[in-house]
Amino acid sequence: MEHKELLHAFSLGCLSKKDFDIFVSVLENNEPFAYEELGEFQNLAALLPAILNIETPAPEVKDKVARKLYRLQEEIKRKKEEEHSSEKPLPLKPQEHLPPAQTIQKPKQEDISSVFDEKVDEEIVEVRHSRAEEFESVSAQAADLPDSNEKEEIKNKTDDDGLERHKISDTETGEFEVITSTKQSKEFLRPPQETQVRERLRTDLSKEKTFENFPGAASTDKDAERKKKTEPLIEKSGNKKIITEEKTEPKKKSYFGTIVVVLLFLLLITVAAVAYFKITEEVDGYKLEITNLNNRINEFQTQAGGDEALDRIMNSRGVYFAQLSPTDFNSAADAKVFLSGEQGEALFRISNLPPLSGESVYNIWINTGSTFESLVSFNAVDKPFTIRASVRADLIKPGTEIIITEEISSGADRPGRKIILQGAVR
Amino acid sequence: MVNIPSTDIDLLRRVAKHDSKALEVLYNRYSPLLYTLIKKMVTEQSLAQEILADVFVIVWRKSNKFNFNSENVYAWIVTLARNKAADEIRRKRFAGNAPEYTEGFEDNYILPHLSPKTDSLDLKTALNIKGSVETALNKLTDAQQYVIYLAYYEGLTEEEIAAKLNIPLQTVKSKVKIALSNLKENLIKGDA
Repeated sequence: MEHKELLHAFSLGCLSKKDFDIFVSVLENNEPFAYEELGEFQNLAALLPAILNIETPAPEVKDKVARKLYRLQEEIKRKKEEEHSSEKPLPLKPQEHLPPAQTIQKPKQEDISSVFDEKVDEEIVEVRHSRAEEFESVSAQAADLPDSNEKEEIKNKTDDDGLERHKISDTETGEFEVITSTKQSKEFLRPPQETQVRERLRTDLSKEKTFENFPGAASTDKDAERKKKTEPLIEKSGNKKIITEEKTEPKKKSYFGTIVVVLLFLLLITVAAVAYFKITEEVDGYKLEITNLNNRINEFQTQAGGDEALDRIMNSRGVYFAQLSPTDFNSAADAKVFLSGEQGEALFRISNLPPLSGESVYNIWINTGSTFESLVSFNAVDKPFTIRASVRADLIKPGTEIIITEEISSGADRPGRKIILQGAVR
Repeated sequence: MVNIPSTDIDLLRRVAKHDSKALEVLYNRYSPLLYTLIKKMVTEQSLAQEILADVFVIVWRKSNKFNFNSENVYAWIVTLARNKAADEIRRKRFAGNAPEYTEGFEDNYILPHLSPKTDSLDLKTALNIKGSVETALNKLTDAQQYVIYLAYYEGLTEEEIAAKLNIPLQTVKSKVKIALSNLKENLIKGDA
C-alpha cells in the first residue's frame, strides 16, 4: 500500500533517491503491485511533452551522434588494443596469423548491409582500420552482443592487428604497416604513422560524419582507390613482397594541405572557444539574476506563509506581483503586493510604515491609465501588517502603477503630493 | 536493398541488433520531440543538442535492455530523454556533489523502469491525442499544473518542490498524486 503511494511521483520522475531505490526494488523483484496503474501513469507522463510546440534540432546534431558513436568505438578499440598488447607475445611471422580475407568480410557484409549503399571491394581487405571491423567492434563490444562466436572472431582480428603492428615496428623503418589483397596476394605499403594520422585527420575533416560512415562503414571502391593512390604497392620476392617506400611529389603537397587544414581547424576552435566563454559569462549573469529573483519570491512566500487570502490568490489564475519602493518621504517603508486577475483581489504586505496621528490616513491608488483610482484607506501599525483590497481585473496586468500616499483625511478623490511608496505590477 | 520496418518496436529491435540505419530512422522520427522536451528542460540550445546526441548513443548501446514484450517504445525513449535531461539539471544544481556517472548509474537512474503491464504507445498515437492531453492539462488548477511542471520539466524531487514552495512535503506528495490523477481523469472524460 505504501509503495502504491509512490507510483504517481515515480511516474513523474520526482521521487527522492531513497524512495526511488525502494520503488525500483519492488519492480525488479516482481512483487505484487498495481502494475497496470503504474503503466497508465507512466504513459500519461510520457504524453506531457507531446503538447509542446515541436522544434527540429539542427542537422549537425545527427552528425554529432555519429561522431559520438565513432569516438565510442575508437575508445573501445584502443582499450582492446592495450589489453592485447600487454597480453600477446610478438610474432615472428605475422603473415601466418592473418585470417583469410573471407573470414573478415563475410560478417561485415551481413551486419552493415542495410547501412551502406556502396559495396565493399571484396578484393582488398585492410587488416588494420577496416571500417567494417570498427563497426563489428562497436557491435560486439559496446553493445555487449550475446553472440560469442562473433566476439571471438573480432578478437582474433584484433589480435592479428596488434601482432602485425609489432612485427612492422621491428623492421628497419619502424613506420610501415601491411595490408593484404586476397586475390592479388600482395602487400601494400602504408605511409609513415605521422602521414597516416594527418591523412586521417584531413579525411575526417573533409568528410561529413553520418550514420552511414560512423562505426562499421565499409571501405568502398572509392576508398580503396584512394588508398591505392596514396599507398604504393611494392613488389616482394617470391610469394611475399618486399616493402619499400615510394616517395612522390603529391605526398609533399598533401603535407602542406593537411597543415593548413589543421591550422584553420585550430583557429576555428579558438574562435568558437572565445565565443563560448563570452556567451557562458553572459548566461551566468542571467542565471544569477534569476536565482536572486527566485530567492526573493521564496522570501515573500515565507513571509506570507499561512495567510489564507494569500493562499487563495496564489492558487488562482493570473497571479501578479508588485514591489512598492519608498520615496524620499520614508526610506524605510516597504510593501509587497500580490494580485489575482481571477479573483480581482490584491493583498498588500506592508512594513516599516509609521502610524499617523489625527485624521491623516494612508491611501492606496492604482493607475487606470487616465487617472488614479482609490483602492483603500488605512492607518499603519508598528509591526508588519496586511491590507486586502478589491481591484478591477482589467487593471491587473504588467506595468500598472500602484502608489501609497499620505492624505490629510480619508475620502480623497485623487492622490495628494506626499507619495510614500510606489511601484508597478510585474 | 533492405526494407526498414516502420514501426517503433521493429526499429528498436533492429537497433538492438546494431543496425545503424534503423537508428537513423528512429532518430529522424523522434529527434524533434525529444529535442523539444530536452530544450524545454535545460533551455540552453547547445546543451540540449548535446543531451539529444547522448540519448541516441544510449539508445544504441542499451536498447537490448528494453522489454520488447511491452511494445511501448514511445514511453521508453521519451522517459529516457527526460531522465537524461533531468540528470544534467541536477548535476548543474549540485555541482561537485553529484554522483559519478557510471554504467550502473545510467542503468539505474537514466534508463526507464517501465511497468511490465503497459498499453503500447507510439509517436503517431501520442501526437494524435495531443489536443486531448492539452485540454486535460488546462483543466487542472494553476497550482496542480505548476507542481507537474516543477517535477517533470525542472527535475525537482518532491522534497525540493516542498523547499522551493515553502510548503510541507506531505502537501507536495498529495498535490502530485491529485494532479496526475485528475489529469488522467480529465483525459478519460475528454476522450469519452
